[in-house]
Amino acid sequence: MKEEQILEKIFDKVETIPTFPKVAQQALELLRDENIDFKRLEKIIKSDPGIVANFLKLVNSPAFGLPQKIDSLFKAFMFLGVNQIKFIIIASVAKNYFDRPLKGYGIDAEGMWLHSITCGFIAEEIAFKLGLNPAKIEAVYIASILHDIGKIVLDLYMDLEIEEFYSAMKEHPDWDFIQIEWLVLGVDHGLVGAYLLEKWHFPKSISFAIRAHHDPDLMIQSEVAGIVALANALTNYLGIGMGVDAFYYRLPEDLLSFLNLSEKDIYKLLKTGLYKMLTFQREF
Amino acid sequence: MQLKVNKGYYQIVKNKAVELITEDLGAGIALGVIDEEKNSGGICVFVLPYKEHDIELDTGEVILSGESLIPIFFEELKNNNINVDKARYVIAGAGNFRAFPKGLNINNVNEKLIRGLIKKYLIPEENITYKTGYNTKIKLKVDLAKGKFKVIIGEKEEEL
Repeated sequence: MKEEQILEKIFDKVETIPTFPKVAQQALELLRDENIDFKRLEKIIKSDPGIVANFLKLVNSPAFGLPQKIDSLFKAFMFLGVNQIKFIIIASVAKNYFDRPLKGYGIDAEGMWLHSITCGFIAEEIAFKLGLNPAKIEAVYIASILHDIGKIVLDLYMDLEIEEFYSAMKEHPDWDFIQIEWLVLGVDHGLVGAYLLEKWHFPKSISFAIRAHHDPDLMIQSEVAGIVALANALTNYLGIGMGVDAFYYRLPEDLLSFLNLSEKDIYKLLKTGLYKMLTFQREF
Repeated sequence: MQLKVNKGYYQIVKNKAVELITEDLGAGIALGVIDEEKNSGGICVFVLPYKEHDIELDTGEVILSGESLIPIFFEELKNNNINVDKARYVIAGAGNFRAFPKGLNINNVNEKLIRGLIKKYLIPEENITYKTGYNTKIKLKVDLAKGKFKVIIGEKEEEL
């Protein structure tokens, strides 16, 4: 297939990806209020049974450390902090996007899901360490958990053109995987993911972070982008949900100094990320 | 039968046609062993280097770092009568990005650690094969039915 034909099909495929649910958007908006109306929040979320089911499953994971089994949304809200509620709402939506294997990228469904959630856990730790404000923390949650959403659009074409990918990688051994994606498909998964988030009317800081997560120049142009890129890298160092492209990228020399993180911080983040993922995986 | 060996753990098998397999290793390391004479072998896997990185889960399980795991693994190899200085070894993993900041050299720290630790056991260098430092995902298999190591690099399997 010619590159232009592939690109046309990719953008047709983008149109078939279900929109980020309005219910979740409304819930996140409500959670930005100073005085949160939890009854209203419950009513909003309850209107989407899929999100409710995922929310209750997630909230009972030991990774969220609640002292007892939770069987209702309202009870969950009483135990959780606002940030945790936001994280779980976003993860509840993400679960429905990352429910199938990505054959072209060589990731099974469980790996894809664990990769996204672990990236979210690590990104959260970095955001807390940097003392980000609530709006930025929310942006970090959305961008980190959904950073690879572009892969679900590209996977079919990646799979169809897999031989092209391998021969391009052989022919251009110095190229990063985003350059290979551009050569074969005419677009990369970061750009497609960013396009989706823009289409769903998320703030520019979120789509930029998704666009930038493999671009060494862009990822150090915003705090949210740097956090997402580093959290994704640490998730790959831990070997969680790695695709064939896992390490086929470059990270800039000043990524850690940009985020004011030391080598010691990195090991703490890796330890926390692995702990949370193992705790999460056990029950989910 | 295939047995998965998770990060922070080891598995030793004697006289069984079992295939041991790791998860994706990331920057972590898998050390595989085959003693053909004794029809035995094993794998140990770690992703974080030092004792201070051991992780205790709320179930009481401990995910061991390389520094904690390697001595226990060798102790158990000896307890299982595996001939440590005659066995064959594969060290796989320690992946990293094509370029990375100095503070993100977890792969190098892990590889240096294992190279240092196994020196204590006086293993002849020719008995060790290194499959480290790739820019893609990697897994190690120890196939005790065939007495072979298999390294899966990206989507390709290599037999050793």
